[in-house]
Amino acid sequence: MPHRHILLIDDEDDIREVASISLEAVGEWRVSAASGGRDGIAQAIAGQPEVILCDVMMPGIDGPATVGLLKDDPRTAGIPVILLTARVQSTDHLGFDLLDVIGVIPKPFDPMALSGQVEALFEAAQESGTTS
Amino acid sequence: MLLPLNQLSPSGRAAVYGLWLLALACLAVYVAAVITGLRIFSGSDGLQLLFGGLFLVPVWLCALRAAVVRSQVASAQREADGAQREADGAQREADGAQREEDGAEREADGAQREEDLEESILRSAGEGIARLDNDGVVTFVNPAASRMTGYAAGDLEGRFLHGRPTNRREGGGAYEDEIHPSSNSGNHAQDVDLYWREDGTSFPVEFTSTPIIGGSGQSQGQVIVFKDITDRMESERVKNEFTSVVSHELRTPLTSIRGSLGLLEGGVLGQLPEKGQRMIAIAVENTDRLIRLINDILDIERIKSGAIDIERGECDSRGLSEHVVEEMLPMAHEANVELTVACQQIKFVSDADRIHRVLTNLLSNAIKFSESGATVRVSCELSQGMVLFQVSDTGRGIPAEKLAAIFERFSQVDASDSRDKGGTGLGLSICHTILEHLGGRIWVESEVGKGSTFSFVLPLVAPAPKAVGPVEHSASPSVHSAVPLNDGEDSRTGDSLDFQRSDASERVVLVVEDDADLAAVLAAMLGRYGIKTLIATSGPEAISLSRRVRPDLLLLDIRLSQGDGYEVVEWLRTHVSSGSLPIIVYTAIDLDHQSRERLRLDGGTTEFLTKAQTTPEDIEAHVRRLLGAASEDRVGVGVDAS
Repeated sequence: MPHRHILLIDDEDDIREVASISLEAVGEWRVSAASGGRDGIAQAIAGQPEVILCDVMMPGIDGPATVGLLKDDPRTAGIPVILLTARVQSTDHLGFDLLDVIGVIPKPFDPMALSGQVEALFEAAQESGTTS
Repeated sequence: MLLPLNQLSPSGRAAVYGLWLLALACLAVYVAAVITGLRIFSGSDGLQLLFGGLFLVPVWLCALRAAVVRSQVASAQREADGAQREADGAQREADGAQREEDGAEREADGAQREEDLEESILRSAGEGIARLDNDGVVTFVNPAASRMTGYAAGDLEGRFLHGRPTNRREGGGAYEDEIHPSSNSGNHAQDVDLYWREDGTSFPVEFTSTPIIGGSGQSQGQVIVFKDITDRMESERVKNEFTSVVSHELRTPLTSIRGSLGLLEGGVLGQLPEKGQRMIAIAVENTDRLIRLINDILDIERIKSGAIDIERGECDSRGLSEHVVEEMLPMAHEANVELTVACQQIKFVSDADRIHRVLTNLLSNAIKFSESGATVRVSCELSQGMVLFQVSDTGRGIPAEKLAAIFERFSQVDASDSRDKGGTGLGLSICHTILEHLGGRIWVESEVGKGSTFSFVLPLVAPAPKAVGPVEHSASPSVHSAVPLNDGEDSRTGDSLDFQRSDASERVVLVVEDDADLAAVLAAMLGRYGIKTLIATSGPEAISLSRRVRPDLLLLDIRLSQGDGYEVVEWLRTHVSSGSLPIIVYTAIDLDHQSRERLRLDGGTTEFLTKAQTTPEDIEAHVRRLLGAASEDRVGVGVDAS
């Protein structure tokens, strides 16, 4: 069974590296990584990942703006997006409710649990028909 | 009539004394003569008497004369005194008139001084002060109010302060002409709002409105005292931004550290030697502690600043307690502590997530400080109209001198606790802060060596969170159960309403409540019994709905964001054509007899329930009972189309 493809968008090199290892080693995802919103959108169009994990606070196009552009583009509109952010805590996702995302994972994340969190959100969205 | 000597004038007294001396002298002569006579005419009694009587004549003449003179003098004296009294009376009268004149002058001066003082207070007050009449029209503003709004005093008078032109909804849309919320409720109210200046710019204000009650007990308008809170809002904004930035900047490196350590600890990158694993475990544990500390500090700041919204919904005391206990079971098993729950099921309106957090913190503490084999009890019950939760342990207890500070930040009974027990010293402070925001309070009872009981109470309905800026109104009223709501008179929608009950037995309750969360909770509760609910968040909305749908019952809050409950009842009184509409007044305001009478329709039933002291179940029960009683009156009931 081919590994599922996830696109990780985060401006922090260290976090990209840690999260990539975590997703690959623990969850057996195939990981693509982008360091910013613009690069992320380009990779999403080209690579058509099954899910996108996107940081919120990034220079240039930030997370919410990236989500908006992804959803506006028919080529990427159907790809489910999960936000990864240091701005909120697990019980506090307010402000992201209006964004078309399937979930929010707070930083710092547990690298051994990250893959499971992504999978749970992805599956819940598929069951509720949020994803295409 | 004889006057006492002390009442005669000095000359009168001298004359009387003179006559008395003369009489005494005569008496002395008489005595001497009698003695001499006795010697001369011894043995003759008749001669003695005659001789003595002859001598007595001048004596009595003198005495008589003295009395006459005394009487004359007294009469003259009385006359003189009368004249004197008359003169004194006239003087007193004159003095009285003078005093009256002086008093009137002083009164006029006093009134003038008071007026000057009041004016100088109004003139120099830093806060804006406005007087509104019963229609909400400005009749007076002080210079500060003019300065803040940019209007000259004369320009504001005759206008609506809480209507155009000074007050528009955020985004510039005008309010409908409205009476301020407190105008008819007879109560002091405090709130925040957005005022608009003459130049079209806005500023946030905190205001207090106090009704002016006349001698007859009728409202004669209200006084609005407001202050510009732009600076405060700005500092709160900066603080929130700082919190957000700090949160991000601290968590970003921690994410990399914790992530790397987690991968090493998890063996993803290969197995480490035993000592290496131990070192990594220590690093992970302390990183987690640092993360908890940062999260707790940020949480307190965010809750205090209102950055975290309180999301109210229906809560179940037993369900919440059992859920938390279930989540804490692994921790309890590890510590070999037994958890028991003895909870009464109470439905109330609050923020379940925040209560969950409080219970988790308390339970976590109780487990940490319990000996192996001990039991921690969680209980809840209805107590004095509030929901009481208690978490009891049989741990080491808290010394009396530490009890007062236990809810302060970084308060630990023992300085080594944060190290040994893994706490941050902020858990109880977070509980305290959360409960404050939910309208509750927390306290602890403890005995060293025997254990502690942490208790907290919550109102049955948590207060609505305050927000700067007016409450937003949707273009059309909220509705449940798919009742169409177009208002024939409302230019925003234009269509006419054609509300049809799906069957004749269907019951419709009109909930007039500006607290949208609470209204939604009430609607959900009533929906369980097949009762349809219409929600109006303002007086005008309630009237608009009542024009088109004759509700079977009115569940009414008094203080609304726009209009008030009185105007709704007033409208119904004149428009309900027949029959009676039961009303449940559900309010936080203490209403006097007169106010209660205003909320009764002729021949109708009005029941009064106090917010925060009435369980949602009680409301359900009242609604169902009243609907049952009203069902017989349904036939032939309608609402005038006017």
